[in-house]
Amino acid sequence: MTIGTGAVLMAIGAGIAVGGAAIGSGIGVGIVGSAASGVISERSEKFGMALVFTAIPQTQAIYGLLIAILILQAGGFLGGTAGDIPTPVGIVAIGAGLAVGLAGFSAIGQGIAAASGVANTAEKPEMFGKGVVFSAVCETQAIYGLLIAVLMLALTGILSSDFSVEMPVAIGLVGAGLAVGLAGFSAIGQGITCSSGIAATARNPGAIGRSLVFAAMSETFAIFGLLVAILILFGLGLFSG
Amino acid sequence: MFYPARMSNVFIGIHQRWLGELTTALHQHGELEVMDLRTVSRKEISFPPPGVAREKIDSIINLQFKIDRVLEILQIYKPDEPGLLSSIIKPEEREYIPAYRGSHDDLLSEAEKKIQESEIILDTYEELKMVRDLSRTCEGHILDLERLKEIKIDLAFLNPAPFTFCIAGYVPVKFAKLLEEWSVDNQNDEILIFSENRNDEILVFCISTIEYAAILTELSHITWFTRIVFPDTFFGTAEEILEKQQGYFKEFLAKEDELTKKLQEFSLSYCTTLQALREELSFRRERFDISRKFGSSRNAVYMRGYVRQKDEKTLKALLRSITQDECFIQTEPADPQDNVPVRYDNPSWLKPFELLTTTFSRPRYNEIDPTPFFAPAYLLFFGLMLGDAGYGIIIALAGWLLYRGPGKNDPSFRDMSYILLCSGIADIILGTLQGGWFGDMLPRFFNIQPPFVLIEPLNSPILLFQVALIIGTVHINLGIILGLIENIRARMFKMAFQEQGIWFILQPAAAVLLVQFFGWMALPSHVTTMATAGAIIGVAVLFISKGPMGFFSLTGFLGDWLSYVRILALALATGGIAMTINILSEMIASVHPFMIIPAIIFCIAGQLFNLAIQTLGSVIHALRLHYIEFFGRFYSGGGREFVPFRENRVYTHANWEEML
Repeated sequence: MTIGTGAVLMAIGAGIAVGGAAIGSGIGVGIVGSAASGVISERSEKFGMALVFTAIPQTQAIYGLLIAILILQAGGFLGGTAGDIPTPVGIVAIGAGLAVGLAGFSAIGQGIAAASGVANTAEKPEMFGKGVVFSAVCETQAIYGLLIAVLMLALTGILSSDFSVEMPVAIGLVGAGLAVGLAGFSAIGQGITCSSGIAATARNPGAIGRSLVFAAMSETFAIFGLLVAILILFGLGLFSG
Repeated sequence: MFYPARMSNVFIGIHQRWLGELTTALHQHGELEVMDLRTVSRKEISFPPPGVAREKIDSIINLQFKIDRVLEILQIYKPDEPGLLSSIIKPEEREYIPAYRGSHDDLLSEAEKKIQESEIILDTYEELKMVRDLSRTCEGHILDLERLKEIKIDLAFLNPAPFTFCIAGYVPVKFAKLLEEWSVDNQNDEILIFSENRNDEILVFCISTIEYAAILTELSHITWFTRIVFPDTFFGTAEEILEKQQGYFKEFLAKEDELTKKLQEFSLSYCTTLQALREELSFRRERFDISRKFGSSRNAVYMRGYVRQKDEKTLKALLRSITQDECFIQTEPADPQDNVPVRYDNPSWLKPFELLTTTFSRPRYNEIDPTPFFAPAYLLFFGLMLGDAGYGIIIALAGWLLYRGPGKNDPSFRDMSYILLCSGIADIILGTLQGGWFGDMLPRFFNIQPPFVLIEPLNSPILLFQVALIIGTVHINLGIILGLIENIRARMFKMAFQEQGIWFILQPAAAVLLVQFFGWMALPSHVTTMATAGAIIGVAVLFISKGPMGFFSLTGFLGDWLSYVRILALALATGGIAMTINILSEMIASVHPFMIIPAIIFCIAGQLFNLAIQTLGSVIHALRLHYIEFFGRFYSGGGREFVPFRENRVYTHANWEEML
């Protein structure tokens, strides 16, 4: 069996997807985990609550793993039948990997917000719901990344093992992946705002609405990335067919 | 149902002779939230609170303090409460003590009697503490005597003598050098030091003439030296005394056990009774304390508060029957401009979901209660996001077990388990429509095609993407409509147009322009022209009303709409990870027939992990879609909870209607 360049590039795409997202999730979980350790050293009964917050930034790694699995399955890696896949298919996989892998760095922002959630909920248990919501705000960027990755794989037909995508389209899709993936870093700023939003809401419960508005402002830049990615997909003719 | 319960402002006046009985009746029925009359100016008349005999409150506080002292001890020896698992497996209804029916004075003498009875608990505890002290001291002596048992000297030599001074002690081996240095510095003709190595410590005897006692005393204060001290009553060799002390130690331990068991028995027989008495006393105290919020004139007592309009009749009837018509009661609908308390007004099947609304914020009195919209949409989003009927069965089962187990005795647990049960049922239905049964377990392992499948997220992501965006459009527009209704009700027509109405121009215009831009459909030119004009007007209105922030309104709306794509993302994640676990299990099982069992274990553990992590994600994101995208369009919350003057019984149970 000959392994073509396309199959190798697909493997690299899967690696970028899961690796990038795992770095983001790892750092995010690390940030909230250290805050959680501090909380339970003083109040061990808060372990369950701290565990929920620690689990929140893990989702990005799951999205990365999901795209990696979809790529590997489409390429026949899971059945041991990866063979002579055309190069453009591999490049599309790299684009999808970049979209979800880079957007996975949003977990860092989520970790910053969740750390504030742990600390404030330890003091005020009624802050649990609000802390979780503020932490969930920063996941939107990862969802945009996952969306573009899925759209790339589905609209090019790769998910249904149709490998007829052309080289210019494939290279263009790397641009779409970079647009939404790099814009995902805006979640770090959003996480910082959300962290302060949690503290503000703990101090004054009426501040939740306006704090969410401040938090949503960082998301605008992620929407720019998403829009550009969708326009690239449109420009490459993927929505027309 | 769509608004909090309507409230009435109540002003009551009674003859003061009925104050005690009326306060008790109001406390038992719990319909009135009492406001502090001192904070209310009523036609510039001020009402001083009625006088309360301070000694009555003091006697209650005194009894509560005594009960607390006993309960503090009994709590230590109380048998452990059944854990979560045992309360699920073997659900038990908590037994409540009937509410006390006697008079106030009878209650006080009953409490006094019980406290006197429970004096034995305090005595037993004191005795136990004493026995423990003796046992610890004895244990210490035994350890020291063990050190000295091979040395055949009379321990009486260690006692003070008229001409000599003798001390014994031990030093850890690691400080041997320090001991040696001290010996070199201090040993002389009148100070003798004997030392002997024993395992990891050095046993030291020092003897001197009485003139040098200070030097030896100084040694006993050095941190690396531990002095062995025995009571003056120890005579004979260490071995002889050791035997006696070991005998005493056994006796002390037996006594300690006996007293502990006694306290455990006391805990069983007294704890619940004392807790119930304490609860009754705290109600009596609350009844005295509440009168500080009342006002009084010569022979009358006045009170003000809020009551649900539904309960007005009952309150009036209660008042008249208690005071034999020596009263007046004025009610008027509460003014929304005041800080009116909020009580939800939902049917019982919707009540548990109020918890989710309150987690964000309780509605203000005159604001729409979003719970009736929240509950069905939450279940829809949860079911779509988790999208696995197999997981749904497990969640529904867990919810049902928690509902009939710990939920029986704990209202907040009951609400959460009810929500869990409903979420599980929603997931069974929507998971079936998505064909998820522990991922692709049915077709992969059992070659069964799941029935009733409408959309498979992994096979038709674009279809689910479109469904998610349609759901988002409906949900956001529902929020906009609710906001519009609220603004029209408040007669804020301009705001209704600028905040909500504008989106009904902008959305169709944007939709037409998008269809035109992407070339999905050929539209007549006049439709495009109208859409362009609508978009220009809409954007202009936004920028005029909000200034530069109008730009963020546009991006915010787009972001809110696209945010519903998370329904697809989470559905894909659940199905994709479950499928991966199944593929990996299949690969493990294919290595060797013996690997089937590890493969099954891996599959179960993996599916449980996926269930836990995806359930958490689905709950969080279903809530987020409501709190941010939906509530952002019409809801701010910030209402004050209605806190009626009511007996909050934990250990006792009362049915006053039955008793009357």
